[in-house]
Amino acid sequence: MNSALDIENLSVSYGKKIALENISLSIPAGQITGIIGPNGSGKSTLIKSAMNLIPANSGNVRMLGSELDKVRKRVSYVPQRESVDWDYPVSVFDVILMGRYRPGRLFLPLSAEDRKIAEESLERVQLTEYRNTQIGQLSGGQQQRVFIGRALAQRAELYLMDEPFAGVDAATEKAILDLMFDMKSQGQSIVLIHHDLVSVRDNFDHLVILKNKLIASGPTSEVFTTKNLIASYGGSMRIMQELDV
Amino acid sequence: MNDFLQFFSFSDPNVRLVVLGTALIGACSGSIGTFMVLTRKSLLGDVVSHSILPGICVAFILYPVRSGIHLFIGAMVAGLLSGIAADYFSRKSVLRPDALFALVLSVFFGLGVMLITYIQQNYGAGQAGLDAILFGKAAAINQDDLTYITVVAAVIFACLILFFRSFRMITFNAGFAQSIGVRVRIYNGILSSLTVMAVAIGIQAVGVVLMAALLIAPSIVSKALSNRLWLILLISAFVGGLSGLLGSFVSYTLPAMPTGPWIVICLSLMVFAVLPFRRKFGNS
Repeated sequence: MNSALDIENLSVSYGKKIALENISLSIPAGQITGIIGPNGSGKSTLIKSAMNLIPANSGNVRMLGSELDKVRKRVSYVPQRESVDWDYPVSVFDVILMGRYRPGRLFLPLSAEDRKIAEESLERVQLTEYRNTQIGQLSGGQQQRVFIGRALAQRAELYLMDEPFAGVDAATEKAILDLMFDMKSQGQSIVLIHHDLVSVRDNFDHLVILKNKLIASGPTSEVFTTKNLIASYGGSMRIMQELDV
Repeated sequence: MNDFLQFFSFSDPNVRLVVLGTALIGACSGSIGTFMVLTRKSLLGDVVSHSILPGICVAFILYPVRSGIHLFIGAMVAGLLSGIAADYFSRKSVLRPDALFALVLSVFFGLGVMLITYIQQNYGAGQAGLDAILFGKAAAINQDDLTYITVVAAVIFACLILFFRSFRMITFNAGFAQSIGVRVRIYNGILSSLTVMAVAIGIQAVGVVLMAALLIAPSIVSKALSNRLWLILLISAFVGGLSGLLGSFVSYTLPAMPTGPWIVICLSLMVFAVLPFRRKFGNS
């Protein structure tokens, strides 16, 4: 099977604090992969260092079988919603248009084709009526959909999403999930950081469990086990019992 | 009324110099300062403007002439150094950025005051008026000054137009910009350099102490009136320019009134005037 993301011996530290220690894993293409682990277990760090947004101490990352710089156009990164200032004076459509920006063409006007793709993305995340709204006026779920709309506008093959379900209401969660299944059916690969253990089994084909080291990586049916969850989350046994894994 | 007509006929060449100079300075710092306010780095404007003082002093000691491009270069170097220092230490130190900024500001400014005292005692009449950079002296803007103010203003406006999308993307969401391969550090460097340039020409008019107001106040006005970035930048430039014009007018009409402080007071009045509208048009 082709892989969407291959990581070899990746280590990242913040000062003396080790965030990721010697991670090696392979994420299959064309599937939805969840990355789980408790707070501070290095989930965001894994995605950010894979995208080269923060420096790694060592390690090798390949996306869609190549180095990132060669396939940047085919990879989309969706940052955490809290990572930006939503009071920034920019409209919903402006943000989605950013998905069509290319570094070498930032000075040129966007083509009609680019605008059309952005319009379609706006529609797919159901924000057409908020097209010209300043982004701070939106609800949390709508803001998350703006980011996903921008990612869709990139027309990528691999999507790396940092907590796309954080702070969204149930309706938005369902809408985003439907969108992801739709993207998967078109052959796209989705890797996302997730918090809610309850919905893991139903939605993710592949699962990565972290606790600064790699606890497990494999098909959800094989690695979503009590043993692995305890290894990652520690003594939070009550959660495990409720999950009945 | 007579003063009014006399001033706005711009027949006095000195009035022309001062008005054009302060209006261009206001427009530059207003528009470029908008990005500082948007990225919540307003305090950095204060750091850079205070830090410029030792740069100007060193430039003067190396070449003791009271006006000219060498003072501008000295200002640029010191301003950029302080910006780099503030940025470097806020990434490496456990101190909070506000404490660090205050520290960098004090160290540079202290050094500047020391140097300016040294200059006053050792350079005789040649240095007379150099201390005006503390509070500005717009009335002293001459033709040479206006020439380089115009050049710097042209560079700043050209970059704002050319790099509009890049600046918007890196100030809104640097992580995303980097993920698509945009050289965020280079654009940040350009933006910082433009800011330092605006400050370096701005201290002519308002001095190092009041410079931060000229960077920050115009965008408070414009953010209250709009939530579209290009319009905010335009309004900021307009408000900054208008404050230069009004400040010059007041100091022309009333005898012995300083221009710089009046520019800042005009700006403050405009801020108060738009506050009631901030929920209606803007979102700040």
